[in-house]
Amino acid sequence: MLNEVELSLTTPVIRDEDAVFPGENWFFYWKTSASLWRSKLESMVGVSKVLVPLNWAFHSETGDSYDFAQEKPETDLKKLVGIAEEFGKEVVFLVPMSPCPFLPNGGLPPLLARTPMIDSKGKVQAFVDQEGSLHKMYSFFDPRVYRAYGKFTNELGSYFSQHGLACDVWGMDCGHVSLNGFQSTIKDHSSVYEQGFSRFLQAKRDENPDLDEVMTPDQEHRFGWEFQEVIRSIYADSCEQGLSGNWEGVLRVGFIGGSQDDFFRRVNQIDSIAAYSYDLLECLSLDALPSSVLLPTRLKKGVLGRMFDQLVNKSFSDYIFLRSGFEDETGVSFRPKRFFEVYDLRPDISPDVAGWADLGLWEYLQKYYSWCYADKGELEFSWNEEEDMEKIYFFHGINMTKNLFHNILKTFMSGGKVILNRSGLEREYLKKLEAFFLENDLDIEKVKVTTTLFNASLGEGRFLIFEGDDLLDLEDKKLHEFWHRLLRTFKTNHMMVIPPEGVQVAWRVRSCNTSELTYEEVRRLDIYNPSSYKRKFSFQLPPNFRLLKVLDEEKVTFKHGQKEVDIELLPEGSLSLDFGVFS
Amino acid sequence: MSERLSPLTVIYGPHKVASQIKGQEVMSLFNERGLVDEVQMEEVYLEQIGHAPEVLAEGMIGPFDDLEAIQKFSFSLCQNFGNSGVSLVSLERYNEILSDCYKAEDLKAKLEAEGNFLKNPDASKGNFFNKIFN
Repeated sequence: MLNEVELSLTTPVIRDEDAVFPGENWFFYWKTSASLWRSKLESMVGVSKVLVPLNWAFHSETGDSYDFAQEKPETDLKKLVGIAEEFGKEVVFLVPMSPCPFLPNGGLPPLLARTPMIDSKGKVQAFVDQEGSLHKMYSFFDPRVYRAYGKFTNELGSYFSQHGLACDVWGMDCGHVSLNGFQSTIKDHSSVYEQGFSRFLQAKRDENPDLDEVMTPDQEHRFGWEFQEVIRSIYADSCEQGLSGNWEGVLRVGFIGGSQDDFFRRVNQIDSIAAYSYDLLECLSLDALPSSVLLPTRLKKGVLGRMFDQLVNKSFSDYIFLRSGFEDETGVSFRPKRFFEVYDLRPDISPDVAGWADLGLWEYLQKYYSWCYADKGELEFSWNEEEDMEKIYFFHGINMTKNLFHNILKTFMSGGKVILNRSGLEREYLKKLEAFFLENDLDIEKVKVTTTLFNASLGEGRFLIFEGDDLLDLEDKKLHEFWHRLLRTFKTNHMMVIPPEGVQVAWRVRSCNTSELTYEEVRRLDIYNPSSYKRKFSFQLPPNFRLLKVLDEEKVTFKHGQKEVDIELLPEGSLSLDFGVFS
Repeated sequence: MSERLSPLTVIYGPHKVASQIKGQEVMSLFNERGLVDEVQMEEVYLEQIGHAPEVLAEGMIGPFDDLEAIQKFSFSLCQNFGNSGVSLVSLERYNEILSDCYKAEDLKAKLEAEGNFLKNPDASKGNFFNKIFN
């Protein structure tokens, strides 16, 4: 069986430390007395950034009047920042922009928690926290809530500027991962959502009298997404305006243990380390910061704890918060290794249209390129000259807009590698593509591999176009073969490690230090066995991969020769291997 | 000796098509291992109803003509898995129970106590699915 289940027979007793530091260098300032902040923060040895989520309800009961150090000493954020600075730590504030799974009422001030959030079937939404408490969520679509939120961010911004607080503030889009990618907790189908949506549709009809009174499911889907984005932008704009000097942008935070499946397991007091470890890696591929805040402390002591420590605390957090200068400032830090950046269907496109999952891409990448990809989901692609042009970008033609089209061409012309599924691509863009190839005098190679592939090269850049709909009837094996043949032509310089069932592997990368100049880069392979079975496997070392170091061995037997590595992992076993890589 | 599994819990409610109620559906079907896998549910559904479900996802299946059909379906699953019984809770009641509970363990106890409970007298004998999946 894939999952390891653990039964908790007694109600866990939460230590004060665990409640205040729930994981990944988060600090819950409201869970302890302000007089203890100094000793608590001093105890965070080796931590340079402290993540502090802001608890809206702790500063206001009504959403109207606010307490920032006027009454409760624990609302004194200036004092908190000052103490952290004394110990050489930087505070990064996270302001929730959607219901918070770890807070009562999702973090809303009690007077604003009026309309319970419900899912598309009508079930009230709730989460189980690390203490086994149930937190019911309340709608962020309630106009009273988003009006009060504007006041909250204004008050917070004024407080920050009056007290000269220069800390970074990120908007926290809370969510969890599911089969459909990142699911924000803002999604709602409550009565206030329905009322707001009706008003939104009416406004659309007023704008466009040709719109039918009864919508097709596709239209409803598209407008539903548009309405959600409008409300989401109200929260983002409030933050940007209120906190302009401190505002850094929106950050997705994936709460492990927060899916529906987890909820019903956790109601039964069962946790699945296998599911959590998978979700953690999925979060990383979605560029969402994984958080273990909802999980009981006992689960974070074994392999799951090591995954959080190695992949999140010591790698991904820096990658997220120092993104602009990640390589330069911390030359020896590992960041996730990514060969691919995959853009899927926009959420306003009908769910009946085939996405990458239907074309077998995810399954293929997951098996052969274990998490070495960024799943950009519905996000919009924008070319950036600092982007790593070694990556391969995947796009759907049906998503094409003028802006995306130009960004794709810029990527290709800057040496980027683009794979475009032309199914659904409008004729206008097909013509523009043809014109672009002609104008630039590019030779187009045409190859028939299940579907017709068109390939253009320009310097380092490659542009490969195929018809995705031709793959829809293929069996999984044929799909794998297709992707294998296609991606092999890109020469990714990857060492394929296919772990046995239940074992997770992740790759990270860093630049070389002065003693490693024989290599182009150093890659770290992290191997974890969150299953409850012993697992054994081997893999071949390609000639351009040299094993440099074996580290963090836990419950593992490891052997290696010139060309092969043999690993035997006991349950909860793990290890990391560093490889010097050259061409 | 066969392991005696705790009850299945079924949350059911109206099956809506374009805002019109067209029968009932299972909105969440779970046991201590989480939501029940769609493949296992689909097999039992096909056998009982005779055609493919219109709604099918983890822990979610439908439509059914009425509550009786859901009871029959859930009980068949319960027999296949060897659960001690099945507790059926309406969507409305589930939301009320959830609103009144503050601890996960209380929610579990109340869903079992306050649902329409069908006992599986053969629970301790073991069964086909239980031997394969557990």
